[in-house]
Amino acid sequence: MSTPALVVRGVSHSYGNHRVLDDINLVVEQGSLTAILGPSGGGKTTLLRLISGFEQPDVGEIEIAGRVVVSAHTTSVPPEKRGVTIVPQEGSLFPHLTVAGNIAFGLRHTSSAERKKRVADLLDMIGLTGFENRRPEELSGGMQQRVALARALAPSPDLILLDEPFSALDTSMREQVREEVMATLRNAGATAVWVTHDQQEALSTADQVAVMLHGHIAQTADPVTLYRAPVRRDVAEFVGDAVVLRGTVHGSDGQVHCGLGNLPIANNVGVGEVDVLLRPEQLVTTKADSHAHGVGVATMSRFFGHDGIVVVRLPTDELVEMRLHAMNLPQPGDSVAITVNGPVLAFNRL
Amino acid sequence: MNRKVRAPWAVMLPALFGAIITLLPLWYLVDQVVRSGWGAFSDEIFQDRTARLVVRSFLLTASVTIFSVVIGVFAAWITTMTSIRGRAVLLVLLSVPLAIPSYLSAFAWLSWQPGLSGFRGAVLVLTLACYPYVMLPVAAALRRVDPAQIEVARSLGSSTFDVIFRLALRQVRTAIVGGALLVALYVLSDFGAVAAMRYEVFTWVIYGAYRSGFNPSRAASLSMVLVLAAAVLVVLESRIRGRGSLARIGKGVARNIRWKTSLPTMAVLWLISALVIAAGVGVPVVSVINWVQRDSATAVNAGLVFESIVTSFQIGLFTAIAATLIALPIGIGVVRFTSWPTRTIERSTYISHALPGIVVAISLVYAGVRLLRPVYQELPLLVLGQVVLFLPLAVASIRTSIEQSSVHLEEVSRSLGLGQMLTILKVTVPIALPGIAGGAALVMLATVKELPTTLLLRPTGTETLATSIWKYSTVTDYAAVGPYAVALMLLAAVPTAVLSAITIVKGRSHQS
Repeated sequence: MSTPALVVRGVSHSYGNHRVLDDINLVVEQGSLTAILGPSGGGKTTLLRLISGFEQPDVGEIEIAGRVVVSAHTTSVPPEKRGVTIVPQEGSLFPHLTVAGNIAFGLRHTSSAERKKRVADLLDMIGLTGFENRRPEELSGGMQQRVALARALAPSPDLILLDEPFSALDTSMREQVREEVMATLRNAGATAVWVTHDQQEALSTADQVAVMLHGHIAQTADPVTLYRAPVRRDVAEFVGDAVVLRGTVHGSDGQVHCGLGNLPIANNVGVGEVDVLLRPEQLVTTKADSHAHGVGVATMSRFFGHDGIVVVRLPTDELVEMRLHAMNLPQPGDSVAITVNGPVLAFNRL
Repeated sequence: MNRKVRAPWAVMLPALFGAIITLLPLWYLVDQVVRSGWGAFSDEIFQDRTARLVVRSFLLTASVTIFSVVIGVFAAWITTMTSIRGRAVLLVLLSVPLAIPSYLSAFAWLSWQPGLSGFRGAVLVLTLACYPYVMLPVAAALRRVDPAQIEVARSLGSSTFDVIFRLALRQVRTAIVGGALLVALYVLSDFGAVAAMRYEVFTWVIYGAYRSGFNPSRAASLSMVLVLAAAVLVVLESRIRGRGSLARIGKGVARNIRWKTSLPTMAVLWLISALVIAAGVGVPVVSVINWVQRDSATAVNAGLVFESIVTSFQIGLFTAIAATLIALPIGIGVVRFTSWPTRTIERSTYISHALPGIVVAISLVYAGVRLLRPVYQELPLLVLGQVVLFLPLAVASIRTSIEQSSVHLEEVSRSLGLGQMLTILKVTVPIALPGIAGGAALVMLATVKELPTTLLLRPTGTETLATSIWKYSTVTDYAAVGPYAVALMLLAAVPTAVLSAITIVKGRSHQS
């Protein structure tokens, strides 16, 4: 395997007495897209600033393309010598330069002919050919973000860091710009790390997702593994909607007993009291027959158009929220039989 | 966010140099007082004529400040909060007095009304010269008053009177007090107008003590009192500037609420404004035109006039360039590499701003004789004196414009492979260019108008526009003053027009 583009080893960082990053470890392979997913204020941006060299870690080591850029034993390599480019939240195009001037900003030791060609190629890549001489303020937010990306790609960096690159955009255009940006990164064969608090964005576009909670990385995995086999309950709840029930594991038969009967377990869990975690899409209503896992009474139902939400009270008094097709949406008081598809997640209670 | 980045030496060293030269005058004063001893110092200070001087200076400062606040706030209000026609034109006309030096305006009034000489004349002329210092910041602050708040006040039953006095003026009181303190500082340090009006205050007496055989001990002792008074004002000013911010959620302001003025009210407002403009701009301009048409005792030499123009322009330009070059590292240092050394350096430049030109001039004469022999009585020393006086104007302007540009832009530049210094040159400076140019224009304007430092430090035998005006006016040869006065007004009008345009454009962008 080739040298990883980025290795972060045991990095911690504090602002005053407040520890924002705690023992961070992360490996990013060349040519991959890694999302750092976490709630706002979780230290994600600080991690990017440590990698790009605008803040210094208290302890730990960062290696970029096989070169240690900061550690306890070496002086920190300054940002301009790290081969790491950044795309800030609002794009931050240089207002005093044209689109071409912005893209060519990092191309300094190249001939003007080469520079021109590189700018033209990048403009073509982001679909803005002909915009060379436009001023940043003449562009829409999405266009600005694409130019900011082209500017970061121009010097062919070892790593591109994007800080919530889509959150400043209108919801209406966010998805489209995201698709374009990710496609451009893949076409360019770039290695990118971006931070986001949007689970869908991370799961749908990244090769690898690092979930960051309370200043440390709780789990790093590909999106499918992360969703299907989260290592902790808080990770499971953060990456997707979940219904949580109390349950008990009696033995090593891979079964958990809960308000919805005996269910197969997907992950490893010890004997004892557990939280059972079900994804809403696992839950379906069936006619009350012998195959159903449990039967409850609908207590609330809300109609949204093509689907709706029903809250069902189980005999154990637990509430289960289900998203169902709007056709035949149960009404309050109706008896509802629930079947669970596939294995469930169980986490030992602490 | 805390950024533990130390300023590079290429920024620190020039900044430090700037701080040191601005502290020269203070060093001189302390040295003088220490040299002559406490006894001599207290002898000078604690005597009747000094007490009378304090009372006169205080009376003048207080009167001018009060009148300037009244006129300045009124002018700011009608140009921003009413629907009066020609607001923009009115604002520009009302700020023209900034381009007219106080001594020129004083001589203009005296040539028309010789009886004005004394306290009344000094108050009149200084008020007309100073109210723009209140008007401009208050107008800018009034533009930022949230229109939605005014609408809320209206919907809660407030009258126009309530809106003005309970809401709008309350919110801009920081700007008012700040402007008032600027006026007070200006009056304390003004030399030309009080000398022309023959009203004995500190600056004039210090000049006299200096001229009459150079009595350095008396000049230094009196300067010390003046500096202390100025220091009190500066401390007050900075404490007030730090306070009071406007609480506001969101940023969308599309409209500006203006008091709908009826035709008769509008006529009254115009009439009052016209009176102020006539007194502040009309009298000097008409007088100057009259002078040009008069026959002179000394034949006006076009060559000499031209020479003075070139000299004034040169000094202004050199000072503007030098001040900008020194202010740039200071501004960058305090904003981008905030630490106690850079903050101290920035603060120290403001000390000299509180020093009257006359004190700076005397201390540089002293330093010139002792330390800077080669440039004594040469152009560089004069430029140095002007830089010491007006550096804060450049620093303030540069600081603001760098604060307004996003630090992210510089980080992007660093990540694209440009080092600290290259980033400053290719990103920070170009983006802050409007503010840098604005600061340079301010310095140039101030330098061209400046009188006492120029009088004392100019190279032997050279005359600037200001010194020529002074020379002929003091012997009431107004016909000879005419051409110089016209030239000075035109030379000062250009930067003033640039500054007004910037203010108006900024106001527009605030509104849209």
